[in-house]
Amino acid sequence: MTELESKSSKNNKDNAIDIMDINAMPAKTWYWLGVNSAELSWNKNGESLLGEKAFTLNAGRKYEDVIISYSDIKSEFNHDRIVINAAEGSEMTLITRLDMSYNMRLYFDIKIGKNAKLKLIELCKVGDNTIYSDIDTTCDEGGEFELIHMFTGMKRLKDDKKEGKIYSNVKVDLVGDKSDFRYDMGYLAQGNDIFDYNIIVNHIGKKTNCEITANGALRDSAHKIFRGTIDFKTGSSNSTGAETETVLMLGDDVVNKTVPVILCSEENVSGTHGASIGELDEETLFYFESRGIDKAVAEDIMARASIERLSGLIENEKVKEIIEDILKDVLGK
Amino acid sequence: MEEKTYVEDIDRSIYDIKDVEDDDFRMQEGLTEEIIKKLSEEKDDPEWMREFRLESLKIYNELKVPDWGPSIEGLDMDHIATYVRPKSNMENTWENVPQDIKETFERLGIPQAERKSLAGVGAQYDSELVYHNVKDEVAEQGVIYTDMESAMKGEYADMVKEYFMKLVTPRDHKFAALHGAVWSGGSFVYVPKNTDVSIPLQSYFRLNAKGAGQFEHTLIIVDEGANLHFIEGCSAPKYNVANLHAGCVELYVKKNAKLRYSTIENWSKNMYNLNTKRAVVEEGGAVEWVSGSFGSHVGYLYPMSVLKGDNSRMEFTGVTFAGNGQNLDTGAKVVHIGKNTSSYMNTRSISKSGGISTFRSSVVVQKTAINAKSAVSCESLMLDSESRSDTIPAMDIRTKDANIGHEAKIGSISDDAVFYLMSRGMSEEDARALIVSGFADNVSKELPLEYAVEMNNLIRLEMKGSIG
Repeated sequence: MTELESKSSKNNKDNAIDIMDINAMPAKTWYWLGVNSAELSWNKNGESLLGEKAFTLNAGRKYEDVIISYSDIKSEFNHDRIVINAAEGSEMTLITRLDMSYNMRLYFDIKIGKNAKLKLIELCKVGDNTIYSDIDTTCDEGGEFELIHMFTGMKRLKDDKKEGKIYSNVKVDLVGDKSDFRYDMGYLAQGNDIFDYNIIVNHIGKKTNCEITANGALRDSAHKIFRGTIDFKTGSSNSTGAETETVLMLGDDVVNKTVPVILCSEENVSGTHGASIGELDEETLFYFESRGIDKAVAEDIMARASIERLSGLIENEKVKEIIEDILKDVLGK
Repeated sequence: MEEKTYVEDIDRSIYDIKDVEDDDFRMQEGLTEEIIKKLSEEKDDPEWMREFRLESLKIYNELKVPDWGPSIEGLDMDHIATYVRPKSNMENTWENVPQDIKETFERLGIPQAERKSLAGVGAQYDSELVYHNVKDEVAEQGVIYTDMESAMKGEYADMVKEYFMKLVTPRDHKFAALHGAVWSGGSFVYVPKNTDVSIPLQSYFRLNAKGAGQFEHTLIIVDEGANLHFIEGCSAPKYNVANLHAGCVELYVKKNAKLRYSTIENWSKNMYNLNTKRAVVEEGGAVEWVSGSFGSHVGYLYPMSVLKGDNSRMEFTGVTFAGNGQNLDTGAKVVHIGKNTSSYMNTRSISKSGGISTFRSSVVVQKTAINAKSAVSCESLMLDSESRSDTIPAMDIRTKDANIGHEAKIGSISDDAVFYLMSRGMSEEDARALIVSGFADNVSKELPLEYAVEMNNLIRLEMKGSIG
C-alpha cells in the first residue's frame, strides 16, 4: 500500500471570492425549488495548487491500494487534480481522505479502459470549511467503476452557528457496452452543515448498468440536497439503472431536498428510483425500545449504521479503521 | 436486428371538424395596453377588473419565458387573437344555440351526456359560453353554477372579487399574468355547506377559431361539508398555425368538503396548452384530481394542491399520452402545511412516434406539517426509441415528523406479454393497445363510465399508429 501526503505549494495571491455555479442538473425544474444548481463561494485566483497526481495503470496489472491524505493543508483555499488512466484489464483501489479545517477543491479525471476496474473511496470530514469534490469518469467496454463516498460533519454545540459545506459532483459516462457503475454513499450532516450532491450517469453503450445507493442522516439544522440523474441515451439498449435513497431526519430544523431524475430516449431499458424520507419508523423504534434502548441512542445507532455499512464494501483494514476513527470523532463517542 | 412497422395515425375526425368562422367579434392579434382596454370594454368589466387586467399585463411584460420546460418558441403572441366572440348569446336550451355550434357539441356528445349523467353543463365556444344549464333539483339545493362574467357582475360579485386570482396570482408565472390580462369565459361554482351534489357538473371548452387563444377562468368554492365532482373537457380542430390555451382553475375546498376535478384534455396538436390549476384545502377537506392529457403540441400542466388545514388530503391520478409532434410536460405539485396532511400521486406516461413526455412533480412539506405523509408513484412506457420519456420529481422536506415515499419506473412493453396475448388470437396491434389501456387503468377506473370509454377510445386511436 502506498501513502501520499499532500502539502500546499504556494500562498494565496488574491483574496477576491468568486461565485461558481456548480452541481447543475442536466434537466432543470422549477427555480423556486432552489435545486437546479448550487453556488460555491471560492477564491479561485488565490487558491494553492497542490500538484497534479497522475496514475497510469498498465494493461492487465493489478495494483496495490493507494491512500492520499489531505489532512495537512495550510492554505485557506486549496486545489488538487488527480488523473487516472486505467488501461485494459488493470485494477486499482484509490482512497482519498479529506480531513482538514481549510477549503479544498479536488478534481478527478478518470478513464477506465476495457475490462479495467477502479474502486475509488473518498472519505470527507468537514469542520467549518468547504470541500468540493468533482469526479469525471469515462468507462470503456466492460469497464467497472465503483465509487464509495463518506461525507461527515462535526458534532456541534447547540449555539455553534458555524457551518461545514460539502459539494460533490459525480459524472460517469458509461460509453462502452457492458460497462458498470456502482455508487454507495453514506453521510451524516450535523449543526448547520450544508451537503450538496449531484450525480449524473450517462448510459451510452449497450447493456450498461448503474446502481446508486445513498443513505444518510441529518441532525440539528443540517441541509442536504441530493440530485441523481440516470440518463439513457439513444442506443443504450438493454441497459439498467437503479437509484435508491434513504434519509433519516433527526433534527427539528433539518431540510432535505431530493431530486431523483430519469431521462430516457431509448425504448428497451429499465430505470427505477425510490426514495424514503422521514424519522425513525415506529417499528424500528419499538424494536429498540423493547431492548431498553431509548430514542436518542437508537437515532445514534441508525445514523452510525448508514455510514458503517460502507465498511462492509471495503476490504482494506486500514481504511476501515479510518472510517471508525472518523465516526468516533463526528459522533463524539 | 428488430424490425418495426409504422402505420399512419388515423383521422381524429370528430375533434378535427372545423366550423366556418363567423365571429361576432375578433380582437386584433397581439398583446398591447390598447388591446387589453378594448377587451375590457367589450366585456363591460367593472373598474377593478379593468385595473387588474392592466396590472397583469405589466407583470406579463416583466416576467421571463420559462426555460426549464418544453420550448415555446413557436408561440408568437403577436399572432394570437386573445378574444373571439361567437355569434351567440349564452343559452340555457340547446335549441337556441346556433345550428353549426350545436352540431359541433352534439358530435362531441355533450348534450347526450347532459341528459344521461350530468347535473349541469357549461359549453364554451372560443371565448364565450354559448350554453349553460343546471338541473332544477341541483339549483334547488342552492348550488350556483354559472358563467364567470354573470357571476362577476351579478349577486355573487363580492364573492368573485374576494377569490378571483387570489390562489393563482398574476405574479405566479408569465402565463398566469397573461391569463389575468386577457381572461374571458369559464365557470363559477358555489356549493353551499353540507350539500352533496351526487352527479357531476361539466364544462366543455371548444376552440374553433384559427390562431386564437382561449383563456377561460374556472372558480369553484365547495363550502364546509359539501361534496362535488366537476368534469372538464376540451378539444379543438387542428390548424397549421399556433393556438394557445392559458386557462386558470382555482378551487377552494372548505372544512370537511370534498372536490373531485376530472379532466380529459384533447386539444389539437397545434395547441400550446399553458394551463394553471390550483386548489387550497381546509381542515379535513379533500381534493382529488383525475387527469388525462392526450392532445396539444406543447403542454405545461401541473395541478397544485395546498394542504392548508390539518387532516386535509389530496390525490392526483394522471395519464399522459405523447405522440408524434407532441411535447407534454405534466405532473402535479403539493404543499403540505397543516398537521396530519396526506398526498398521493399516481401517474402513467406513454411516449410513441417521437413524442416527448415528461413527468414533473414537487412535494413540499413545510415545518408546520407534522406527521405529513406523501407517496408518489410514476411509471413511464416507451413504445419506441424515437420517443422520449423523462421523470423529474422533486421533494423538499422540512420536518422530521414526516413520512415521504417515492418510486418511479421507466420501461417498455414486455415482449412476453405481447406474445402471450397473440398466442390467444389477438393481433399484435390489439395486444399492444390492450397492454397500454391496462397501463393507463389508474385513470380510467377513476372516471365515470362514459368518460372512461372515451379515454380508452383515445388510447386505441393513438395506438393505431404503432406496431412494433
